[in-house]
Amino acid sequence: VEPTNHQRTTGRTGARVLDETMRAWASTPVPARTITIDRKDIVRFAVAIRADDPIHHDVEHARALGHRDLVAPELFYISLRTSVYNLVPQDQLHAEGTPARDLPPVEFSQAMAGETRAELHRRFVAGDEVVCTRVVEDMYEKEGRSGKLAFVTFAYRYADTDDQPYAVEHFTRIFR
Amino acid sequence: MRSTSLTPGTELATRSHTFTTVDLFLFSAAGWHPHRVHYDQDYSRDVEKHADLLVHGPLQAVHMFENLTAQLPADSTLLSVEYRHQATLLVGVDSVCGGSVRSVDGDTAIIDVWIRAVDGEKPTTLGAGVVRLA
Repeated sequence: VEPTNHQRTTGRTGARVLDETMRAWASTPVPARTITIDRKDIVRFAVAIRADDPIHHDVEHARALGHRDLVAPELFYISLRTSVYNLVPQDQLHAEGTPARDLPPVEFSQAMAGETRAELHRRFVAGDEVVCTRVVEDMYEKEGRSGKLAFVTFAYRYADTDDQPYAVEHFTRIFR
Repeated sequence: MRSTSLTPGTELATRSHTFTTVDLFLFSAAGWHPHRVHYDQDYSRDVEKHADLLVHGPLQAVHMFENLTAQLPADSTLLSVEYRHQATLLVGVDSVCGGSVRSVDGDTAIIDVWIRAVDGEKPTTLGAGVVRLA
């Protein structure tokens, strides 16, 4: 069931972090997805962030340094969070553009990025097969100056097919 | 240029950049970011009430950490990162990123990093990286 009651509001209805609707949303499993990182993904990301080290662009250069293929920039995992999980039909996007499924069933007037922590275990290399998983690992609320704030922390894990991790990201969104 | 002496208090060289609409488009496209505040100026102004298009928080983070890793000894490894967004950074605004070494313990260093508008008083995004030095 897609959450439908997350329309932007101007009222101060407050977050309802610990209610059953939120618990049900948070515990709804998101299927793991397996993707292959290709050279194009790495080059596009490197171009977008102006990373001009030839290790991201020139296969022969990367191989001369002992790598199997193009090596992604350190923070490449950032592009996986969105490019893997934002691939939903357009009618499942919220008016703001992001997937409605990823927004919790709380009323809010602003959704903001909170703290991010990531462990980087090894670099992504073109050709890698990556298993992507996402869970809601924490939810809590705080009383802010302008009312209740709801905090939702997602854990995104990227591992190979033997479950050896590339990166694990803990990403908190704040709903006001 | 790569630094070879990282001791507590060492300041990173700063790097300036003005994010253009092309930066924002390419980052949205490369990561499949459909949030309209990064490419739909009318939406960003009229609906979310921002003054202009917003530079993605993760794009700011990437620039902070790219500036850091470019100054580490060759073969150093970035082990973990953390960062948080403090304020919005608008397209077309001159920005600068930098940082400083917080601590060094054996071959591991913690380095604080930040990015802010050149005219801004506080960072728009700040964080820290844990690095294993080569």
